[in-house]
Amino acid sequence: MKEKRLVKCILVNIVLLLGALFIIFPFYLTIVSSFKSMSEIFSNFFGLPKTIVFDNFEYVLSRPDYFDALKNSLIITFISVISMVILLPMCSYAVARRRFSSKFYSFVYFFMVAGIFIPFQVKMLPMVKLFSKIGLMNPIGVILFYIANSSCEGIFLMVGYLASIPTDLEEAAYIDGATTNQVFSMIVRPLMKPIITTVVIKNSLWIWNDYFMPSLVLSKSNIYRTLTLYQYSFRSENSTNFTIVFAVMLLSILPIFVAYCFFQKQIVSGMMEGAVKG
Amino acid sequence: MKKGRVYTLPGNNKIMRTLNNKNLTHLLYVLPNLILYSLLSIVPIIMGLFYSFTDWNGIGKNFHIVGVDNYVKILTDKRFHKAVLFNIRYASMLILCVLFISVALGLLLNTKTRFQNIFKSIYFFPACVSMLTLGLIFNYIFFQGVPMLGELLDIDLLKTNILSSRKLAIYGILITNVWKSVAIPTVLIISALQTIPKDIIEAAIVDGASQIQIFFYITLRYLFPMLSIILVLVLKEGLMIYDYIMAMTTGGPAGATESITLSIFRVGFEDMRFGYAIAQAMIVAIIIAMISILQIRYSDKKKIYE
Repeated sequence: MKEKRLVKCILVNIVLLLGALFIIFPFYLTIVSSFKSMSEIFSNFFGLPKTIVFDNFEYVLSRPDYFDALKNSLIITFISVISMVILLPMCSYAVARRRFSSKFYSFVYFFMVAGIFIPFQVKMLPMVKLFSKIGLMNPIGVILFYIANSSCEGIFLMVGYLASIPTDLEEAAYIDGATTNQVFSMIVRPLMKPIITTVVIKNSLWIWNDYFMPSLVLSKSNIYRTLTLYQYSFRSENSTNFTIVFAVMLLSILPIFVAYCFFQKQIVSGMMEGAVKG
Repeated sequence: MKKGRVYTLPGNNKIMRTLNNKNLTHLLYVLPNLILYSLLSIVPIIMGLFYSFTDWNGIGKNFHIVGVDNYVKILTDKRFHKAVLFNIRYASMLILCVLFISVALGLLLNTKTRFQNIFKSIYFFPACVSMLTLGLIFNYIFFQGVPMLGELLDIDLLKTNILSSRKLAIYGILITNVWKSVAIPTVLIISALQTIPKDIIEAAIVDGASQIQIFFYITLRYLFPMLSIILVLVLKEGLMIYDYIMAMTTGGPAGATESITLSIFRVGFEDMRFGYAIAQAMIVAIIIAMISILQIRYSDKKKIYE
């Protein structure tokens, strides 16, 4: 019995190891290729680089493009997510506590949650027209879009979460003479921390990795390029020069990889919850 | 769910003041999101609904209202039908692959081994990387790596770039998509597996059930609610696919991998048939909305299980 279990354990590990190699392989290829020279990559595609070359990174990093794109991505992601962290809990709190006693708030709830059912495709064409008409074909427009688009799911998640928090504490605070602002910021908000983390993780990964929305709104000029747009246009401009393209890919995965190393637990549980309930 | 109570103690000025104040504060809390959402989500939809009944080209000032003409045209539009067929074929293959692999991986990862956590973190990482980056990397793998491997092992099938073949390009995109999209379902399956009570399985073993019987009669039953959630998630993903295609084939070769989203985008902006493209989008929207409603139903069912 013990032997049988050991064999089973080894078999499971072997299968998992093969799968893991399959997952790692593209990343491995990206890393080794970005340290190879163009002459080496044709003779030695899969192996480790015989001579480690830093030219590719030098080429990419000597231009401002990468850093500009990185900065744009960081700014867009950061401002969108910070605005969500400020706005969504406030909105959800008001809706969650009032939607059974007030017709207005119950309307607001259904009006916004209905947005979950509307796919992006139906909005995209008119939105581009609207944005170009009111001068929002820039990062501000993208940020406003992300905030608006996250409202539906965010409010759905947060209102659901608030329903499970007892109102006793808040009521006690009101009787003690606290204002709504105080009750919200000192009692309710701290209690909402887990759900805020979920919303932050889901949205920051989505915004950081999004290609579709920036390609519609920001691709007209180079100064607003995000990291994904930069990768795409860099690939088109240097399609024969694999090694520097791989260097760009590696530099683009790196920020996510660092974040993943530090916040793996939060990221996994945040994306899980976001996927099921969203 | 608990109702928010409103306090109206007569004769207490302080509480009355808080109450009035509360109404205003709540309104101010809701307004920013409400305004943004109405302006950037609802207005475009209303605009779109209007344009879908016109022949506007998207740029000019003049357009005519053509009624349901656009919707009628869709019925006979070969390009749109082809894109829909592509998406249906693609989504069903994606669902099959993701469901099968994520259940297998979930079962494997749920066995307690020493390296379980390392494996879990490796398997989950693809979920965090952008679809575009992965698409571009896999594009090179199919363009350079796989043909080289084919030469090395002398396998004819691998010698050509499958992305430039009209028949096989869809599988190249599919492999990339499955490679990334299996991550979240796998974690979901593991969490569902952990809800299975141990005593049920022990009782089954005592009664002499085989591993296969345990899997089909117990494990799968407990997984079912989660599987239906995953099915809907992946179905939506398959129907909306855009990034991978842009990164890997841009709809080619010869339109063989043109998805609905890409087709709508091109008809609207490149063929200058804006009104018509929006009419197509409306139809897709209705289909996806119906799927989403199913999803909510399933998630509600899941709550009953918990």
